[in-house]
Amino acid sequence: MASTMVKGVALGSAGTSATPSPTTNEQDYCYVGSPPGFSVANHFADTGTVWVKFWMDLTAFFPSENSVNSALFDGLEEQLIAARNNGLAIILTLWKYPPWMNGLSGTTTGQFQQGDKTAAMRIPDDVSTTSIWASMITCILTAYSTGSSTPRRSGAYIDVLEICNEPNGMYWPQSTPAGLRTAGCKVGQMMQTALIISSWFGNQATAIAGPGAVDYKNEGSPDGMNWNTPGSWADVDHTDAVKFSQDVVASFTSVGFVPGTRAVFTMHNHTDIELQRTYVAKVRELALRGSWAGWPYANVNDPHLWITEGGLTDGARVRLGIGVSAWPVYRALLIQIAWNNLHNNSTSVTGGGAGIDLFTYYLFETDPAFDCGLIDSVSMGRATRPAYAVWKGL
Amino acid sequence: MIDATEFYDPALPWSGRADELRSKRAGAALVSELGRNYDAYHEELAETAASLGRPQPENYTTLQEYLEAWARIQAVVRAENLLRVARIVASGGRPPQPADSPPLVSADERLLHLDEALELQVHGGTETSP
Repeated sequence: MASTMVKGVALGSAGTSATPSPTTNEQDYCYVGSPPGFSVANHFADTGTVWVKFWMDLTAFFPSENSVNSALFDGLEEQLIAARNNGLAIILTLWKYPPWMNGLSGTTTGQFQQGDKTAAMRIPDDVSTTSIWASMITCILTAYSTGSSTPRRSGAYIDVLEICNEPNGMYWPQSTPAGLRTAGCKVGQMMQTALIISSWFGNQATAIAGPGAVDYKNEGSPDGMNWNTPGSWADVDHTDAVKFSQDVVASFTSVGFVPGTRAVFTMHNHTDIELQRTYVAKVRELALRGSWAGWPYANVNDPHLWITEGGLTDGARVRLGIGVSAWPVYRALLIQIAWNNLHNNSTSVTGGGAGIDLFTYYLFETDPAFDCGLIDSVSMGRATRPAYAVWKGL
Repeated sequence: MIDATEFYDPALPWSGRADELRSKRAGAALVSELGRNYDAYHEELAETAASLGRPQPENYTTLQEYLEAWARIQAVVRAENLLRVARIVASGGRPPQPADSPPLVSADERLLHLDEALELQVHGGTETSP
């Protein structure tokens, strides 16, 4: 079945995890700045972007087992209400785990534990319905689900709760010392638990999304984004996106748990954009088709997925060998190609096709430390980039 | 040798000799006991799963009760998965990767015996009902 892909933009996590300050934080949906009328909210309206993705850094929002950071909740709610009032649909993505939640009490969240992975990226062992992790999900859904009878603040609702971020690259462990892949199965269990909790709030309750996996492909290539571990689909740092997704799906199907129409399968496509490929479409064909009875029809023969993050940093420019002066236009071109490859029933040679329903770009105002944005940061002068015009025209 | 830590979880409904070995944290012996007596332990788990059934929100007055009911079901299914690992290890094999694992629960929500699950996997009969 054909689909109509719509546009979303993910704002930076600083917009919700820094001390709330919409007057100075350009990743805050309520940021206005200058010139007049050039607000973050206006970027969405101006470009026809209908979804916004916010972040919840769990280490910041839940600093200890017995307390929450109310100021951050308040700041997030201001943005949720403003976005909803402007007609946007909202994804809230969870990331990072405080030590009290993932069993690493006594360590600091930034401390390296395994390779380049920090304590905050350790997946909790217990993600069952009575786990501490589940209590946190209950807290969030009680606050922000449309079905909640006790929301934190009227009007501050979310449409989708994405339960993790890039677990096949950011989280650890990916597998056991003996090489048995575990991360995908664990994320599948997390999605099940969140769906069970959400079901308590009724049929119109918040949809649950995941895994938000990186489009890693184990095929050894010179681009530097992929890796090649002969004979293995996972190493200490990565799990191939198709294999990881198959593990997520298997954790549902093996226990007879039907995801249902409120379960949204999500992927990121940074590398797809960079390499002009559509590995996310391979995920749909190889991991979801025939197995994933999730959003929108709970039909294994027509599974859909959403892209909840993608973008092109200066690192991509370097890997592609593009000069600095040519990069703004080249980046815009790659975004256009990525969109074309996935939109509706594209039959491009790189794959793609129907079933990708949301394309989320990472950042309007850019983050100089992860320079993907469609607009220069405030410190750079806040000029729109060629990619902004392309995004607006999609 | 496998890491037996997960087998010690008190939420897992091990009975009899397996429960005794868990309390002693005798990992190798526990895995061996479960693996050599897979059929008997599986039968107990299947009966427990059938008696519990799938929790429905309307049957509970509080969210906490609802989540606890799901936790009991999840523990039974997880126990079956570990039981299979124990059987495979006891027979000298290596546990399959998650995506290649045979189903644990059938379309009509029965806890499946490993042999039946392997048969379903071979013949592609692992679809779940919506």
